[in-house]
Amino acid sequence: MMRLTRLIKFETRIVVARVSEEIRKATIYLNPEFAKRCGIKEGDVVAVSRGNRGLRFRVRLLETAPEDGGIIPNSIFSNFLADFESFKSFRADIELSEGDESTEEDVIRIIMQRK
Amino acid sequence: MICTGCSCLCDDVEIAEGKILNACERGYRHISKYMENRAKPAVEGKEVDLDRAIEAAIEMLKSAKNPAIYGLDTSTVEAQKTAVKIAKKLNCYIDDNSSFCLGEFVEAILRKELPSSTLEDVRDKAYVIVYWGTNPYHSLPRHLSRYSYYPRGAKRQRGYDEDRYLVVIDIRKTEIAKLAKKNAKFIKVENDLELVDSFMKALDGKAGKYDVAGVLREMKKADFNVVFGGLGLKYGLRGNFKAFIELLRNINKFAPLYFIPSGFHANMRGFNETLFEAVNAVNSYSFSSASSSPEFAFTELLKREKIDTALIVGTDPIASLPYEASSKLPKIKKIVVDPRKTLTSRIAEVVIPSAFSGIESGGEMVRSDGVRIKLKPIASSEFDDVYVLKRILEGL
Repeated sequence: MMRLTRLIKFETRIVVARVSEEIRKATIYLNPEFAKRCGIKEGDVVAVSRGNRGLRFRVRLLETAPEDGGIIPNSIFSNFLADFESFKSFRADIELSEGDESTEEDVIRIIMQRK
Repeated sequence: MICTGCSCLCDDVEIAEGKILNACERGYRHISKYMENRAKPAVEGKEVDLDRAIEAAIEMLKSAKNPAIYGLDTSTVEAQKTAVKIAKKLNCYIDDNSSFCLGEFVEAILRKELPSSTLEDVRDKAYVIVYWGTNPYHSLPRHLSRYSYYPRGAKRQRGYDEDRYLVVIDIRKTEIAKLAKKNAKFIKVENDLELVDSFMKALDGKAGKYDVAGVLREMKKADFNVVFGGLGLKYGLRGNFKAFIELLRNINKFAPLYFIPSGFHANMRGFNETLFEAVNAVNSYSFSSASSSPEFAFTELLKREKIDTALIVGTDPIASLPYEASSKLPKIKKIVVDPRKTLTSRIAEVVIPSAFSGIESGGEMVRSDGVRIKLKPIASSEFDDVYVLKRILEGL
């Protein structure tokens, strides 16, 4: 059965921070309460978009994530969405998505297409 | 050995019977995995020998119209000095990550606009310890246990729950904010400039948006207090560093308060000090203009398409820069010098492998508080940053 929240976009605060684990695939750490309100569960894939840029992230839950959003570890994924004025924190839209999380190769491909 | 996993440069890490002792998780990973994913010399994606890669780099730099040198924050001071010589010879730009990291704070310290101290003094003397926009739990994992909150210091013998007062300022309740229980305060900040204003008002006995009078009262009890400022503070100030410097100056009229940058790569401060000694600027320098300017930051040069070639040492800009800058990297020629294969080396025209400073190569680094540390490598390598950069310098 399709989840109703699949049809809804939520505005969220993204904080860019270092995490201890090595992250090779796009991962977002959502505040558990926020995720619950959005109908998002651990392990889901979500699309995070900001302006005309977007990537898919695998969801993990973390209590120290901001109450109204999540943390994206400082990485090619966070920096693809960030700009200099909002390097450490920005607002983005988040919605449930199909498929796998984005990879480093996906981001490099997008960047190389700009050449 | 000296761990070069972060800017703490911990000097008590030991290797005994194949085991790494005393390192934090970050340091352990840095040391134990140094042989993995190593870079190989390559030109235009084809593997070549080291000499050929260095020659290709020299030719590329010789034929460049507007080159830049960028990175060097995990290189030794000796390598940084050689890179400055290359930049001078090429009459080109030189910059490191500090231009979008904590460079402004280091510059203010070097220009004596911010009072600073050493981590040993913090351990021995500090009462109020403020972490502002930084979460050392992940970025500098042993910071609290070695230097600030937890250790008993010469003048702080009664332990952290009596002899330290911890203040954590952040936009979220981080791991270290959760420590803020007894003798502590967590300030959840939405606007750092309003918090600066609240401190200024509290100094005059007035109320501001944030309740900080108690923090100032605690500072007045002690003869040594410290602020560790990170990237959250930098970006929260939105370029208004003078307001922060003014705040520290005013607090110091009532209570001694020092500032130490918190975060960054192992030898970012070394780069700032090396360049400062050479040209009186900490980053974003143009030898052609004989001046430093935000316009000469590597990110700005990329965004405004002012350079055609970059010598990138020990950093991975395609991963670490925002899209508006990283998306311009494919348009320029890139020479990457790095011990590891990086995402940038995948798209570089020339890749030159190097050694891990502190693990395979000796030299000097500068800790976040400005203390100079001699590295004690545990392995050796035929070529390191100094070797590669000297070869390039000679070839030019």
